[in-house]
Amino acid sequence: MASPEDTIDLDALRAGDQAVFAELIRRYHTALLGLVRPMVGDAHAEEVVQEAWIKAHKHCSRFAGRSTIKTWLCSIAVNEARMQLRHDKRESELRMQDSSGEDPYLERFNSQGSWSSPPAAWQADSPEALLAQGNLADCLEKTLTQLPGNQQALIQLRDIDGEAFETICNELALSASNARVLLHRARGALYRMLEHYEETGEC
Amino acid sequence: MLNCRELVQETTANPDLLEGSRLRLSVRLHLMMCRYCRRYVRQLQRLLALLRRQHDSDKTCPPETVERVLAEIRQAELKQPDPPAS
Repeated sequence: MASPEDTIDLDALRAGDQAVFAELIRRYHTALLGLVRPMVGDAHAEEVVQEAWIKAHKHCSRFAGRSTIKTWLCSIAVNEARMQLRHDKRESELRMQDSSGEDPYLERFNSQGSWSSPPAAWQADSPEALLAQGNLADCLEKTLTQLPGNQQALIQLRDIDGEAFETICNELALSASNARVLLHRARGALYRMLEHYEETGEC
Repeated sequence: MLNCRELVQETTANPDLLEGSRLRLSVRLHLMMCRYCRRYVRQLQRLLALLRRQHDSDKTCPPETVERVLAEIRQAELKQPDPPAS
């Protein structure tokens, strides 16, 4: 199956083809808004993403193709959000957001590190069977959009888009060890949602 | 010897878990002995497979939004043309 990226003509984009750039906006504007919203809040999200598009437009002739175009756009948007927070002297909020949320597995183990509340067996035994259950896709989407910016970016780029981990760390300016901690938290939050959904049928 | 908490930590933070990366020997030994951790890793892999299916469901935005963004880009570039190359 062709990835959506395959249909973007990168040579035309670098040459300044406005129709190709418009196609990028059509595809990724909503995703970029979702990415920066947890970082800067509703009031600033549109402005930050608009600024990201201006930067992307200015520099797209130099897009080297080391990452996918979506990863490149995400990194510009995340950087813009960081600049906005710096401008508002709210940088510490970002650090707090990144480290926010307790360990999703905090209560699950005893003092020896063994399961005190082990995972229960699920009814659904495949991704198809899981997705066939009511509104699970919506629940996943909701949980994803509530994750802090960098956690959401990691899930989006690594687990959804399959981008190389090293590339993501470079683009988001995260150390590999920090990115692993964030990945653990983000996947833990999604796992906890899915586990709850399996038990109760609700988000 | 790895305990369950450490196994969960290590597998959940493994960026390549879905790609079938070779897990450390201590992880594999623990998995051979612990059915709860086997179940956890299987469920986590199911979650990751589920996420991968979301790939093509990126939500596109309407033409008027695209036009608005493009108009703002043009405005910004009129105000601040590219500096000449030094």
